[in-house]
Amino acid sequence: MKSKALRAQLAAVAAIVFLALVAVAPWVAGSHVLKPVSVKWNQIIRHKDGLLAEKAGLEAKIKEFQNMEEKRKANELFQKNINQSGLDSMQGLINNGKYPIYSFRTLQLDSKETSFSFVAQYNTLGQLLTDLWNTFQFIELSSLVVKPSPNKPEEDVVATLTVRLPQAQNR
Amino acid sequence: MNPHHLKLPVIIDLQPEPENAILRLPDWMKYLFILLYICTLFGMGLLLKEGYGFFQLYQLKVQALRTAEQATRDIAALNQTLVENRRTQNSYEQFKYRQRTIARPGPLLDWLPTLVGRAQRAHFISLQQANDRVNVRVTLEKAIADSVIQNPAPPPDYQIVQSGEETPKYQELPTNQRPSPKNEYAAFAAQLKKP
Repeated sequence: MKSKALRAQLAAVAAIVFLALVAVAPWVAGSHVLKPVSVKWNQIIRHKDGLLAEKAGLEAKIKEFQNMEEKRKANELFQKNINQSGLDSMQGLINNGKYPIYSFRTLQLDSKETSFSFVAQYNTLGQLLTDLWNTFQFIELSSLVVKPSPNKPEEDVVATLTVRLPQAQNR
Repeated sequence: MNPHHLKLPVIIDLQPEPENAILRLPDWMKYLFILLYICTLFGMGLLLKEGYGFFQLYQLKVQALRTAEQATRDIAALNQTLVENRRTQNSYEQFKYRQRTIARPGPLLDWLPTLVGRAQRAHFISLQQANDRVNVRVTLEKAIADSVIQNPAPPPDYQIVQSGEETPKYQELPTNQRPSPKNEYAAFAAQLKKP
């Protein structure tokens, strides 16, 4: 009889403990399972918001650049102009027969400077210089000496043109 | 024997109710049970509410993961575009700067005739450029009493640092002419500077 009573008391205590656990379980589940996962997920969502903000910032920065396509094409043209501004091209333009010049000479002064010398009429010289500078936009004029031609001092001039050829640009 | 007259055996195996209660709980414990019951109900309600919020958060998280993946790809592409744009812009500015800093002889060549007076004739012209400075020398053939132009207006985009008349150098004169201030040749020398 006594052992039956003891067993009954133990069963009652176990039942009460079980009920207490059932009562507490939702709270525990909320605070120990859902909350940590929610914190992690909220971090993911915040990370996403950060990425979107970064993306918006980048888009705004990209919008600050205007006419990039045109600039890209202009760069290509500039680079092409530099690449084509070689000694041979310049000699070809000056002495291609289009301009009535004679006594054409090229003198390589050093690795950078080249001197062209020729005899031409004033008007021819003006036209040639104009075309030269319009064609080769990146050559630098170091010096230009114009003096009367000894043979025809009244008509022709001896022009000595020293230019600096463009160096390739570091890109 | 008629089978209809057979009787089934009666099995009595019911446990009899104890005459006295083995365990009697105190009366206050019923309040404990009520409290536990209320606590369980509230907990379940709370769990239900949090579960709903949790489910919504899960959907947001799934959406956020997808958005983040797309945004990461977009950011990489935008970064590449940005780098490319910067490079293009930088190159463009360098080209323009280089083009701008290269002294074009056009304005200077246009300016040279203004140095020659009506009764004068240019004999020798020299133009030397170094950095932002330009040295111009024009040897003029003129009447002995005549003089070169004083204080000429500078060409566009240039300032005159100094200018004046000088005796021509030997190579600036025609053959058989000696440099002398008393002959028909005078040199105009000027130094120009880009502002």
